Amino acid sequence: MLGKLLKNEFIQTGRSFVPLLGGAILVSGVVTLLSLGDTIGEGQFIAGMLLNMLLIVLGAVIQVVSMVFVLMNINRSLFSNQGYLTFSLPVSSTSNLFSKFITGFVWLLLSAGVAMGVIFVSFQNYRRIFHHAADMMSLMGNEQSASLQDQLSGMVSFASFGDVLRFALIFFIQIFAFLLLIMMAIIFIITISHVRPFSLKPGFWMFAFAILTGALCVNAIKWIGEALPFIVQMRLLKVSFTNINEAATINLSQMFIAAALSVGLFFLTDLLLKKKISLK
Amino acid sequence: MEEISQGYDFPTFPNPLVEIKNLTKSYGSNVVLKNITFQLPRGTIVGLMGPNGSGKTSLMKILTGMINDYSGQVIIDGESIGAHTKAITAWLPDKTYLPQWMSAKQAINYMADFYTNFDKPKALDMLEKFKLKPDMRVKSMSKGMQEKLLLLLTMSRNAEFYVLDEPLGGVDPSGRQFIMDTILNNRPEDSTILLSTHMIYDMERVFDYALMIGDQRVLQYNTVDFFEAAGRDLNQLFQEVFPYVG
Repeated sequence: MLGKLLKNEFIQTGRSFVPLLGGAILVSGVVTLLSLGDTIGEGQFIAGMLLNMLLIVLGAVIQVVSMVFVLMNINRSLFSNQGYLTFSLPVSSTSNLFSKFITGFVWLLLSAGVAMGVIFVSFQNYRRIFHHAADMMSLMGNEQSASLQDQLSGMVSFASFGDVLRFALIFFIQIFAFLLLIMMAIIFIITISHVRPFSLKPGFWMFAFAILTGALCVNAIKWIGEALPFIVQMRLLKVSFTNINEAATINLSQMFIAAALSVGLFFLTDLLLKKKISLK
Repeated sequence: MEEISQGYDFPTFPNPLVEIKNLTKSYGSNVVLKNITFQLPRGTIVGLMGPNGSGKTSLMKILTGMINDYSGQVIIDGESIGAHTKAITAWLPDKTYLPQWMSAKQAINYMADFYTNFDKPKALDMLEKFKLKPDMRVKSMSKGMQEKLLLLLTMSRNAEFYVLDEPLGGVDPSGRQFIMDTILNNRPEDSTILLSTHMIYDMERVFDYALMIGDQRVLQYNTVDFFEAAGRDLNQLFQEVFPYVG
């Protein structure tokens, strides 16, 4: 039954996510095409800079919109009229919850991947644009342009292709556990907001529980990480990059605590779904 | 006319489909059902009646797993509410529950995916009889079409227990006849139907039992024949049990 639940969940959620992620990939492809070319004028330089800046913004927007989609889908499928369909299915509430969790998590992970991909493409486009601009300057051959060329070359070397790729990989591993936690926190917050007495004002309580759960999770990760030295010692991996050493530390202790919190929230939410649901 | 007392021993059955013991459900301080106990037999049609706000829909939601914050015991086919009871219970709520993007055919496939007792050829046949277009999306359907689709999805299941919440609400007389025929012609003979309605006059002929709830408890529950023997039709009984207070 879990397979059928997952299939139908992906069909339903895919209706929102496929256009979103597909659109983002398409836009980054178009911007890359526009950034290609052997020669570059002043207008193209500025346009290229702006378009790729928008691509970075798009990367951030994808993440926010994805979370909103996940939140709306879970709220609608569990606690709107559609909940009548969801809760009457001949499956356990744990299976139901698990399917929603896995589906949301996969989409958030894919969104993070696409967002990082879009930002990565943007960086590469910047590198290409700066290279072209520097080449053009060197062709001009005067002192002023030489100085500008030095500045542009400096910008080009802010991160190599390999650096960006490795940074993306480390970042992706790092956020894996945190996306688990974010996904589970979203489901928990929506569920508890629809339990009496909070269900009388679910919108308000959703907001209040989001702040409360967020604060508790952040502090739990910080405090427990510091209080348990053997876990802190798990901070093993450190990868050196050209300019981004600090950002590239994989904090295993935090990942472990985030995953543990996700499991705790899962069972708490499951308990609420089993004992406290009262659909309107 | 013989007096029918309230609080007599309600009928019990050797192998009931549904057993409810000491069920209490409240919304905050508002107690809707208080300590109610009764059983539903197999293979019968039970009319659930009561004034607005008497807890009919709450009782149905409890039986179908839409509400689980109650106290007491609710057993269907020997099991507490869960995957098994949901597999054998077909539920027709008074609201459209299908996602707006779904087409009629997608809804049928969805049901066929989850319910082993869903008869897909029967559903497709009913779709044609109901003159519903398979590819029409729920959002494009009129209210009447959506209600037909929900009825079709419910009655295409060979369920043991049908829970039908106001299937005749807001429907014209010919529509009521159509709905009743659909229900009666498509239920397996040994199935039990619990049907809530205010259209007592239309339904009296099909009910085997009448269950009246109000004032947080079961006020009357017996066979329609029992009430007729006492000189009441259900309409009269309803007015007697729930006198209108302007």
